Amino acid sequence: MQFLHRFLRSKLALLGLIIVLVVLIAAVFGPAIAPHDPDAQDIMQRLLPPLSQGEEGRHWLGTDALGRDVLSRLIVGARVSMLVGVAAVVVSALVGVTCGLVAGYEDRVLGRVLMAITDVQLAIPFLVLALAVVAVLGPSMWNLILVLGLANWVQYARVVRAECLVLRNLDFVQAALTCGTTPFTILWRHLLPNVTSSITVISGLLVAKMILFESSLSFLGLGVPAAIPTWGSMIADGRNYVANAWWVAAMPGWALFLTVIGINLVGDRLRDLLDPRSTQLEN
Amino acid sequence: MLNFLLTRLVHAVAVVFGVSVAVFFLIRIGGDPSALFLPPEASLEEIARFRHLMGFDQPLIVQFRQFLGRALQGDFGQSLRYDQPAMQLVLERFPATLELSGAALLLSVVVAVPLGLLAAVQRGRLADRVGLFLSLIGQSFPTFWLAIMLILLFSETWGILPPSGRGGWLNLVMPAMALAAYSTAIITRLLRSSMIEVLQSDYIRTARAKGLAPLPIILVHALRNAAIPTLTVIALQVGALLGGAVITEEIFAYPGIGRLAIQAISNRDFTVIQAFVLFMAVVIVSINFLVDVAYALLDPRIRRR
Amino acid sequence: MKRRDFAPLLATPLLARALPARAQPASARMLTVAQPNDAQTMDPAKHSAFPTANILFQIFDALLTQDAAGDFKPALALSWSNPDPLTWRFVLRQGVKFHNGQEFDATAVKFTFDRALDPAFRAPYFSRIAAIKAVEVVDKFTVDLKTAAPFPTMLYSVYEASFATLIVPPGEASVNLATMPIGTGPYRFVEWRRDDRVVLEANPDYWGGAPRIPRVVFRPIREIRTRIAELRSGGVQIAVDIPPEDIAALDGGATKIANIASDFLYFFNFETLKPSPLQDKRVRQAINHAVDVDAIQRALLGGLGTRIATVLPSNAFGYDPSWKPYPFDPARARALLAEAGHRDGFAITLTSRQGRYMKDKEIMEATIGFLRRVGIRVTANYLEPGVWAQVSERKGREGLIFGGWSGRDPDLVWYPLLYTGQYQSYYTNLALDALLVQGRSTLDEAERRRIYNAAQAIIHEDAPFLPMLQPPLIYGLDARLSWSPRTDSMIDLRKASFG
Repeated sequence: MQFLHRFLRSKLALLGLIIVLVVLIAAVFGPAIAPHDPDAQDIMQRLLPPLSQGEEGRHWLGTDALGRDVLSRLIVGARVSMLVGVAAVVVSALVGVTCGLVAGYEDRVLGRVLMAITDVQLAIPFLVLALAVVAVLGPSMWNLILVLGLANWVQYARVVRAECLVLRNLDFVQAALTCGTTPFTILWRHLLPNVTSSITVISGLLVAKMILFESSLSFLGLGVPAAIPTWGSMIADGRNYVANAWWVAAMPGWALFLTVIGINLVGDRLRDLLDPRSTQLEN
Repeated sequence: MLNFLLTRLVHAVAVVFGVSVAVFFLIRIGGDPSALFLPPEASLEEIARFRHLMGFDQPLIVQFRQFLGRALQGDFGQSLRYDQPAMQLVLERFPATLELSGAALLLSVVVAVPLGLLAAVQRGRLADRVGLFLSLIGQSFPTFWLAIMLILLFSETWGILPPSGRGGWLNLVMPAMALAAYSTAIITRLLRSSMIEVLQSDYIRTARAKGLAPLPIILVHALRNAAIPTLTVIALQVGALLGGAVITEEIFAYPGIGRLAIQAISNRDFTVIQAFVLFMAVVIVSINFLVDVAYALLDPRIRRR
Repeated sequence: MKRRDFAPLLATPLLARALPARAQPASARMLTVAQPNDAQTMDPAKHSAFPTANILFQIFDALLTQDAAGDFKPALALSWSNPDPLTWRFVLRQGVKFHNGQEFDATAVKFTFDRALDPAFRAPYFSRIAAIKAVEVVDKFTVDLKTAAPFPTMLYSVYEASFATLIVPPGEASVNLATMPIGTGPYRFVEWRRDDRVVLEANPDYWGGAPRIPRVVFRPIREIRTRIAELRSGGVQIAVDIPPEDIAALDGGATKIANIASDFLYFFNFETLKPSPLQDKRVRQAINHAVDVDAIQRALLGGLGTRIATVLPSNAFGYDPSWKPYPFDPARARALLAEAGHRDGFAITLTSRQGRYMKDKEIMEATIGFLRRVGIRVTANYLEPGVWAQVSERKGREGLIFGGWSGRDPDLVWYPLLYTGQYQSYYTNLALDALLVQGRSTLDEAERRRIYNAAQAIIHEDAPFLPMLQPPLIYGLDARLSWSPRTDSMIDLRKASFG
């Protein structure tokens, strides 16, 4: 609770939190609060500008190239964008933190091997990896999450490993070792809790990056299968109309932009509060 | 120092090898592209004939051994689509991407360093807030969106910049801007926080309190210490720029290596994908190596290892 | 369809103010063409894509060419005849030289065809000319193409859209065709900077008369907005594949629009070989009734293009204007579905690429929308090209398939798409098979018309397709350019000029 108080002391962070909450609400309650059916087409009502009166109610943000309500698609699209972003970060974190813990603890063989793998992965351009994986596994939301997750586990692994290398020389870990505690328990009970703040900081900022990545992949046609609206694919589909029906691409563009800003603001504030180095700055 | 560098070198070579192996098997798992190169009405026998001619019907291990053998002699195979040496295609396109990434990196650094420094020194005041705001914006824009907006504004509406292609430096302005936005943001923030941290450190505080040294000298000192993490990020960004130029090149019809990669992957042009990945791995690993060297030069502690 | 014209209206006066000088190309001596893709190679027999063909068609000629009306005209061949049903004899033009000075004669023709027909050569478009069994030089300017069985569509296989039959010089000059093309055409090759541009210069000794425009450049620009931006800023003078929504903005002032209905066919194919509701004829007819193709044409293509009653271009041999498509009738569709036992509809997949043809994704989505209204729930599977090719190879396509195809003769379209066992065929009907074989076994035009009319009766009733449209080809042009598009989408610059 106190943490929340400190968090909210920054007005920008508050703004960010509000934005994120709005998007989350849209994501969770999506279809229920959308004014129209996001999939309902009427090609004779295509490309209507915002505030147009449609046959079934006002289209607050206009209609897209197939006559579907932009606002409704935006709301439903929030779900996928957020889901993909968050799930990708969870995957990254699970894989990366595990590897980081292990590598940080056992620095001889396993650790070195893991770090070598991270180097290898860093040397492969992300897009190539993404394309290759999508090509092999086929396009689907879970494959997309897998790919995005794979892209960033390295960041977690490195940071966690670096911290563990320091931590494991500290007294309390040494003491645990002397007592004969199993490696697993050491990792789980002693090391992990101490790296959570770093993990949180990285995660906060990574969600935003993942949402941007998803939109880029959708732009290239590699994202979620087309039936599901995502902000990225809405921008991609609408980009050919920027000159005459700007709202089709601009609305999801703004939504993406604001959401990412919101997440970044929250992430920044988290880092200011949790990052051990930055804590000194706070004082 | 020599020891350190040698270890890093061996490490680098191992990484490049690892990359080649990984990508080789990864792209082949999904099958081969024979059906892609033939017109829609080609029959199954024709496809099988093509496949056999290209050697795709052999077991993967055998194909890998052939690949490795030829690669060590410098022969990276012919592009399936263009019927030309794969590595030649990659090397031909690289200068263009290098130009673009270089321009973007230059732009990033030129904008980010003053901005970050200013923000750090003027911490909490207007310049800092503006700097943070700008970097927040830069970090939150998808590259392709930025690119499209730039073309719409500068080419279609104002007509002051050419929308696509490679030519004079005017052609680089928009793509570099689109590409550099994210990196600029990251570098600004990192430099700012590193600088703030260093400026807060005891010895700098003491020096200033004692009035020992004027601000510019302190800044140089601080910059030197802040340079190390910043260099790391710059190195990472180079990799991102080279790899992330893909979308920018596509939108601006810029003839670089990113477009080649996308086409090669769509076409399952194995030899080109392989050559591309290998080449990029070498470039990225080399850059990391250079950064390691720079570290060693900047931080005496590493040298003594 | 209402169009909101504010944005383009605002842009045009702004544009006029901002670009007084740039709207003119640096000199009217150069023409730049923007296509979505770059050339694959400079060797006519080694590629399978129209953007490449468009470039090579300026460098090379074929035996025949197609004129604006779509009829075959002499090019490197002056006349043709059939001494017997298995032979096509071509009398060649004299006095033609290749760009390197070599003389064009029957040996060049023989060399070109032998090379493309050689299995070791791996010509991608081999199947277009596979019916040709041998090429014989009768005399210096007469050549015979021999087939194993009568081949009524031979002419389609020897003009420029049959890529491998562009005539190349025999001998040394053709060793490096992939990077150094030498032909008889109106333009000579200057340079090819991969993914950037192909530069050509006029051949003053061209047998058809020197071209009016001295220099031609082809640039690959995939993004539509970027192509349009280049057109507007004067960077290119021909921009290919302009969306219908941008016609209003581009048709006036420094730019103009040229459009024509293409020979391509948009249609949906039904996979009827695997167990699915599509195996019931009533279901297929219901689908034909359920989709308002006219509305799709009006809304998505601005009314451009041509509606087709069956899967065959309306200007093809044997197309009868009295053929009618299924009328839009959702009530009838639902009735048919109920009759077939699907009162509550059913679920099915749609497999396709996307982005390959103009508006293909939107047309597919619109069709899915219409089907949804009669209870057919379609799940769309958009595959990227690499996966698409593999899936189709393993006969993995199922459900509805959105196809593009082209061909100006029923044998070029119905045989590969409907004949039992053909690689691209998802249908089988022995009565139809018999007719299709008859149609390709005779050279008598009247007879063939009769046969294909009978075939269409079966096709219409049995509905193995949902035929839709011939899409429009929309080009954005510099207002001063004088050039006309062709229905087969090939770009011919021989008669193009400025002013």
